Amino acid sequence: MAMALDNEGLKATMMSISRVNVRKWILASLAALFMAPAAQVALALQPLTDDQLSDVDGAGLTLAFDDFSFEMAPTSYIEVTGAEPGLAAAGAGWERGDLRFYGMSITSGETGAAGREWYDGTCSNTVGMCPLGSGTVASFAPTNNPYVLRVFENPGFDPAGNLLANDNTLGTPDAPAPTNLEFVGPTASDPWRWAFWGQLEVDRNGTQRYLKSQTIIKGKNITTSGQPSILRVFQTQDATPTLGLTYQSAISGDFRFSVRQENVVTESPDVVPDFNDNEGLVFRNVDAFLPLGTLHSQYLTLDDAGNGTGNFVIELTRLPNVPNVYNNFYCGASKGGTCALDADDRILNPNPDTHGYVRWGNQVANPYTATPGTGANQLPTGNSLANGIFFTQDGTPGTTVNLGTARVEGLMIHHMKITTLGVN
Amino acid sequence: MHFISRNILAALFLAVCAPAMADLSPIADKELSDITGQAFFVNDQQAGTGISTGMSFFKTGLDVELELNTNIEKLQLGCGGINGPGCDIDIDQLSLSGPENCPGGRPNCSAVLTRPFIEFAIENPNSPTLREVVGVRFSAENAQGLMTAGDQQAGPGDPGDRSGINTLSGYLNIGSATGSAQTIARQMCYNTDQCTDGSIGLSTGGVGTAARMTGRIKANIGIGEPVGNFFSDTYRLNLTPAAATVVTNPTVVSGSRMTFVDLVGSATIGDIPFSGQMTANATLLGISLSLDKTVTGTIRGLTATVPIEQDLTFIHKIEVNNPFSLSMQKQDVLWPGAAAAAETGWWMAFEDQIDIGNISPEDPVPLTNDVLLQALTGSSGPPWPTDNSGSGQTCNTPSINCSLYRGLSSGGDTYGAVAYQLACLLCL
Repeated sequence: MAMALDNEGLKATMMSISRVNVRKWILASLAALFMAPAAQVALALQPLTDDQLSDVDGAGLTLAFDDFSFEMAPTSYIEVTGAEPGLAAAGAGWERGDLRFYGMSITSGETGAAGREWYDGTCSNTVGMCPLGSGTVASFAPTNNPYVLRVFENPGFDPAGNLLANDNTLGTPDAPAPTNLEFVGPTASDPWRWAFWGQLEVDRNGTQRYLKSQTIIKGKNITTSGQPSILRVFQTQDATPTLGLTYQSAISGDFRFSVRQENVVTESPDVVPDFNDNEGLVFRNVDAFLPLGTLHSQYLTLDDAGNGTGNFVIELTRLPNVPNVYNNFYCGASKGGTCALDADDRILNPNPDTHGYVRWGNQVANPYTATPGTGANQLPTGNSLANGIFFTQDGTPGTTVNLGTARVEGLMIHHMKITTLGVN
Repeated sequence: MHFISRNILAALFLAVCAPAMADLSPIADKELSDITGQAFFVNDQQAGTGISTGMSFFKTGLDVELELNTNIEKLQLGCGGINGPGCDIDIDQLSLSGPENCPGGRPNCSAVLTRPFIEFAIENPNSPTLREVVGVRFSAENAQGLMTAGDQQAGPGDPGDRSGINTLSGYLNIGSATGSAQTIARQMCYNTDQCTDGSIGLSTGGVGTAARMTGRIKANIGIGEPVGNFFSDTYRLNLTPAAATVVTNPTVVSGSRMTFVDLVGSATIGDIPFSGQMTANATLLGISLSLDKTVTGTIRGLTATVPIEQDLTFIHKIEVNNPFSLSMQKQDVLWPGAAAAAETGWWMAFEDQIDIGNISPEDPVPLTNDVLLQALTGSSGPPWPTDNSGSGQTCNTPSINCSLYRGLSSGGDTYGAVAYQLACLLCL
């Protein structure tokens, strides 16, 4: 694993995600603390001079990962421990639930059937969805496109509709943009695969039942259009400031979930299964972008449920019913602006930064008139393995049922609140 | 909030900064298994029933209440694949919010999903080498809120406001709904060849003479007021359109790639003015007479059972308060608790009765021959006997024929028509 600070990469990344210059605080000394000796360095690192460093806009760390992989032992796990359900949940038929995630890994995402698996190391999947790749990810976060952890001053409207910005891009600011801490992912990388095998356990203290499965995601935490994943942490700008977060989720690639095994010696819990190489539910050509929150008016917060039970709340605050806020949310309107409408009174130019989407499969222009085919960019046939969502027993068309492509476009979450019920 | 943050930070601080005061000791799996805490997840497993006997259903849920207010511009699921070109579910401008009557309007309210969960249908659960995932379902113990589809306003892109649910695969238990309709203008004739607008004569299809207009007539001839029977099997009445109030029956709809649903409604039809020609055969004082008359009138109080083909693009609102689910499966699967098997592909199920709001058919409702025969005779079906029983001018079962039989009755005489110009004829 190698981590590196790269001057050009930092510049490129910053220019791609913001138009705003920020304080010229260079935390290169902190970055150096994270510069572990390069075990496997694919690209030669260029030393930075003090002059070069002083040219950098922004403040933060860059984390570049070449030839990166992460593999837990197949028997190592992370457990989400359950408890006996409360009266209401038990009354609805729920039982104690415990989840274990074994052998979590990030490995190479090369194309081709060959790969590895946890049980005996050998795997061959017809659509390239073995759980483990052959080795490391050459450019997981390339030196010219690394992860960036920095403080930044992003423009936006506060919940009352005041514009907080450092320039006039969205109109004349009412106040400077507040500082937030943001963790920005790469906008380009090699594909990689993230996998684990799981054990869903029902009723641990009673009639224990298990479902062993494996889950594989092969792709990038970047959309096909290059949108990165971004986590931002800040103090909220409302009347009762608290810790707020926004998260822009981005992912593209393939997904597989399977349960069939081979050469079963025992089904005892915690024993590493020998999963079948091809069976499963497969999603091809997934592209997803899900923004949760918008600076500085909508954000994720944590709180207690307020009823003294110990339950807690995770909330994506309600989008304020304030014109500056919702017009910017809907169409990116500047201060005092409104959204242009088309002839059907629909928003003419939706704001792509706030409209999420999930596409399962490469889409065709008109699924009602397109001729089905077996190509990756065609409307899938009933047994296509190249596009869309399919169930398969052995990875061949003969045992495959393709359910076609699917998509959710223009997803806007105005409010989401999760209140736990589990503490009695 | 601050309380939690402080505790989390304090715990992290202690974890990072506290010096090691004692040796760590390994914890056994059993010991780990004994640990309990707050359950964020709850699980369940059930054996399949019906067509899914032999399957096992594993589900894992969040022991939470999830409030959600969201808009989706386009939802297309199951396009192409095993079901061919087209989409299993295709909805434009889908919105989910709290109930319609929420204070402050829809932006201020969120739908509530209690214990949302994901569920896997596993075939051959007891044979690891044949085990297979055949379906996935997303649902909640209960979902309460308002789901709307379409922008609910007409425009050049959707004249007639037809945006919304384009296709739907799933199960709908549709509750009774009300609306308004307009009947279609048509002619009412005994035989088809008497109609000039293509309407089918009422006597066709084996109805025969039951389609006659019948009644009793009183003649004002100066030498008395004889009363006799008459009938007509030669008539053509032009019925003008009329407004109708429709109440649909609760209906269960289940199917793949539906674009409309068939509903059955009870229509209370407003006054239907009519005019036309009628030739009647009357018998007065033992003499047969032929009466050729232009008639006008109004059919009033007509009720009818009307079939309504409801295009899904006109369903813009669904009040939800039930275990709503969305699933996809490679074969037909009867999910636990579901009223009907989900068919291959994507499937949206509303298990309990839903309110789809106002049902007002876009197209005028036809007045079928059965409806008109019901109006004519008062009977609800073949052989269409006319019930003329009643008292005075009042019919026990209102109908055109009964009205012609006793609608003008006075004294001891029962009749529904009066002839004023037969004097010369009968004087011969």
